[in-house]
Amino acid sequence: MEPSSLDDAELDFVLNAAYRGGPRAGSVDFGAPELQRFEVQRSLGRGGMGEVFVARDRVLERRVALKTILPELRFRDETRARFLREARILSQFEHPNLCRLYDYIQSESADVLVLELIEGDTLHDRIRAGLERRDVLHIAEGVATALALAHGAGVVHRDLKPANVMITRDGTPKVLDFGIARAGAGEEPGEQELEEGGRPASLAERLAARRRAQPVTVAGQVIGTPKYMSPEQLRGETASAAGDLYSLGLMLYEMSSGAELPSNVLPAGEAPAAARAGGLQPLIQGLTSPQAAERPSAAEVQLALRRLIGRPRRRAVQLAVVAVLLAFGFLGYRYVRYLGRERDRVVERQRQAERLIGFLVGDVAERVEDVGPPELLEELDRQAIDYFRNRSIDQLSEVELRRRIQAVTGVAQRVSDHGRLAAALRIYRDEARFLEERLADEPGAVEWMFELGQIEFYIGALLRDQHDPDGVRAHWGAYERLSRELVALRPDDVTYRDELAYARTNLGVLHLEEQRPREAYDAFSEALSHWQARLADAPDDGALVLEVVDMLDWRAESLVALGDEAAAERDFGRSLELRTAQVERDPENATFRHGLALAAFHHAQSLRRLGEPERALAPLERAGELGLWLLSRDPERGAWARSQALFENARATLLDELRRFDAARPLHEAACRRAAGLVERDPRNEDWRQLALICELDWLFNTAWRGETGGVVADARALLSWVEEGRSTGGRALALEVEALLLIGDLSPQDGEPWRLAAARLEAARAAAAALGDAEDERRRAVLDARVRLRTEGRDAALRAAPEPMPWQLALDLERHAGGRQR
Amino acid sequence: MSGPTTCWALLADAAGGDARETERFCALYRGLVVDFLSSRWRGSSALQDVEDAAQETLMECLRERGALQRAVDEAPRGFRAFLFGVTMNVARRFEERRARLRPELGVELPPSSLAPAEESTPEREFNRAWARSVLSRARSAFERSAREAGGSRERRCEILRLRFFENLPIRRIAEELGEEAPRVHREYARAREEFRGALEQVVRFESREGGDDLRSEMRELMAHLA
Repeated sequence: MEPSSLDDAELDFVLNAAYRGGPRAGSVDFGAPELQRFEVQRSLGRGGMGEVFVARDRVLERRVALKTILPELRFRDETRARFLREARILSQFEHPNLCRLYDYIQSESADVLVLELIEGDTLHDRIRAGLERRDVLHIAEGVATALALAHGAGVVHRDLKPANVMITRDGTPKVLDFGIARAGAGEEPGEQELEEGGRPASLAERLAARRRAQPVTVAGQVIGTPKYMSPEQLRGETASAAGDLYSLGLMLYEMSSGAELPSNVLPAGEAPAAARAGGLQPLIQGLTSPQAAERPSAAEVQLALRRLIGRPRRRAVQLAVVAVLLAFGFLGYRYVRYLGRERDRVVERQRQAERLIGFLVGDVAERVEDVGPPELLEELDRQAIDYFRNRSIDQLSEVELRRRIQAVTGVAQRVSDHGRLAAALRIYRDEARFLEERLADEPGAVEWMFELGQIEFYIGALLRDQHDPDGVRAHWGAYERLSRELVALRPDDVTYRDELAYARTNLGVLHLEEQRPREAYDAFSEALSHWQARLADAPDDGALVLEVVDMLDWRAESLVALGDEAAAERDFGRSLELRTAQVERDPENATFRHGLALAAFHHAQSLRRLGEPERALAPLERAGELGLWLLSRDPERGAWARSQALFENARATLLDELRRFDAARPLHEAACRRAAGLVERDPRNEDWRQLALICELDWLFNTAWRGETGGVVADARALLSWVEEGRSTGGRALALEVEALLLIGDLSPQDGEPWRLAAARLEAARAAAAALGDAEDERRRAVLDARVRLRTEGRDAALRAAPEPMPWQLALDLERHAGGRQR
Repeated sequence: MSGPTTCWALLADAAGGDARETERFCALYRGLVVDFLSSRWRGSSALQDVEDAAQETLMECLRERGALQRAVDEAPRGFRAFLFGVTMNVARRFEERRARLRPELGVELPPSSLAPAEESTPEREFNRAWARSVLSRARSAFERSAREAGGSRERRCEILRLRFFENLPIRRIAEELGEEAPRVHREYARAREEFRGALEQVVRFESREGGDDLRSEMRELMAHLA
């Protein structure tokens, strides 16, 4: 039978595109005949990848949980593969401590896991409510039993945590969510498909296949929740059964102490009193040993816990009294909390009502943003526009005029958020004309000037999305001019001074992009002074801290472009300190954490450029840990995955720089795998593609430096053609080609052509960089120039061309090309 | 579908001066060129030139010994790449004209004419416009044949519209149509197959080899839509 040109999920995607212009984000359609036996009652919850429903099986007359993939993710192979893997793993077990799989249904409208419906609390909730020793032992024993079963079948859970353990109403613990668990090597559907399909065509596929085929569960991959991860997992090493036991040790500590751990490391000092009294301390210590080999197996834990369950309890009466007192205290606390929440609800309702009233007088979407669904917001937008269209400007009061502007800009923002940039631009331009007319009537009217400045900013921002640098310069220039005039008119008004700082920052970014680092530095310095002065007046204002750290980072970038690495390092270092304090104040804030991770990365890179690689190690490790934390929150977030690949690759090359090639290896592989995953997700994203190429190339250099030259030339040639396949003609792509050619030349002793070609490509890279205004890679090109000269002209020429301090790649080359020209 | 069965055969006939095929060629590809140019010139006053530029592109293709003949003769990278090249040439000519007019008229330049020499974006936009036009043609063909056949086919066409345009679940569609849900489900499955057939026909027509590797052609189409 001829294979179908489109499978059902793909056909869905195409039909959505044909009828609605794109894939639809919606809910699962349970109308397919295979699903009609289920009466869906309610949604239990929706996550990043799927949704779980409570349903009644009409045939077997029992309640079940239906786990589904979100329709918009269904056509993605990786999502379906993960879903199928969970089904296959669960289907192996039939045990009271594991959630049972009743069925797996693939219909044309949905993929559905039919699961046992577990009604009760999560262990996380139970820990917070407080657990008795008997319950602790019973739950831990149940979890250990589930793990013993899974490990015995070669399955590692990889994300064991209290939120993934449900306690049923009769007190039975059940381990859930094998969505990211993995069976032994070779059992992955994806692997089989790739292997059966023969040698994949593209380098991306080939490298991805090679990495996937490695006999590890998850080397370096972001899997699991860092707070419950074993140290080896956090280092990016293989996730094994011992990792699950480490997680169980941490959970046991939390269960016996009643307190949540701040990190994956037990606090120094003695174990909680309950653990000591309950005889759990040695077990917790063993489970949380930093050495995986020293941890007991799940079966051993199971036995140890059974022995403890059987042991008579001492001091039971005293403990019971304490428990009663604690329970009263807890109930009192909960009652106070309840009252507080009720008060909050009333205030929130009042606030929502005010927002709606605000809309009714024309103050549109901004005020209903949190209240209504998108369709309602769209409708409100339309009505607001109609309201103002039907009234002449002359009939509007001052208050109404201001509301009109707010409504119009609100609508324009919503339109541009939905990608309709041209329509948004038209709205802003009309508004700018209107404001210019008002200003012509009332010169120096600060309100109109302020509004016009805002509109100029938005127009510039939209033109920036449309790659119109002249337009951006003109409009952001106007924004800066208006802000300056406002400050001159109202020097004491902080709003206008803030605006001027924003305007200077925007222009600074433009200067930096257009190779004017000196002007960029001046602009960022002016903005930085402003924000620092503001922060001095209000040191606890988190928003001001963000402004200051952003400015420090930007100014450091301009200092790097100016070649003043030492000053850049100071700015990066200061930014890092402030961001660290920010995360300490609000540890759950993902934006703060991402900012801190990036600052740590930039600081490390700056230290490396200064020739202090040892000092760069700690901040890069920090960046990696933060990156893992972020991805555990949302593994699908492309920007976070990109950052993490960047951190891993930087750490890998840093270890190369320190001549620790073997230690660098797993990190290179992790970075390549992550970047390849991004490219697979969106092959047209040029930024992700270039990152993948950089990771691959660095991996190949590591291979060569470790002395494993077999296959490197072929891989480098494939990579070269992969670069050439790309549509980007930017300087960075050409620099990649040069590096690949150097590698090929180094490993092809009879052929001088690659080095000559590298010299020619470097020249082209310079020209391209000049044409594109690409200042970013100035140093990279200088390093390449020296590396090419080493091969084509000899050691002295290379040293003359090398920037200061000596680039590490050139230092490595010099070690290997000791006599100048190597052949 | 009467007449040539691939775009290459259509091109050969149109380049040879067959008036009917020339008209068909223009009807098929005008929408794609207009779509792409509108997207390229969005937010600029050059938008008013779209119709003229599309006309000029097609004329360029059909001019005696013009680009179309060269495409048929040489066909180095496939028709889509060729049409993209011609469209870009025409677009740049229009943009240059407008740039020269700017000082006198005070109109803004088309944003993308000032964009850095990043060649990927226009081609990507063009491919996206191509993918949209393929889907639109498939949907038109599917709806046209349903209308012509009438009866249950027309009803199936409506089911697909209700499902994907109105976003209704099958049970609601069944209520709307006064039918049993299982029956609507069967009809829906058939409608999907019919749509798939219509799409395959358009994709085969567009491919140089007449759709020998339909699966990879479909994958490419989806990649451009994603």
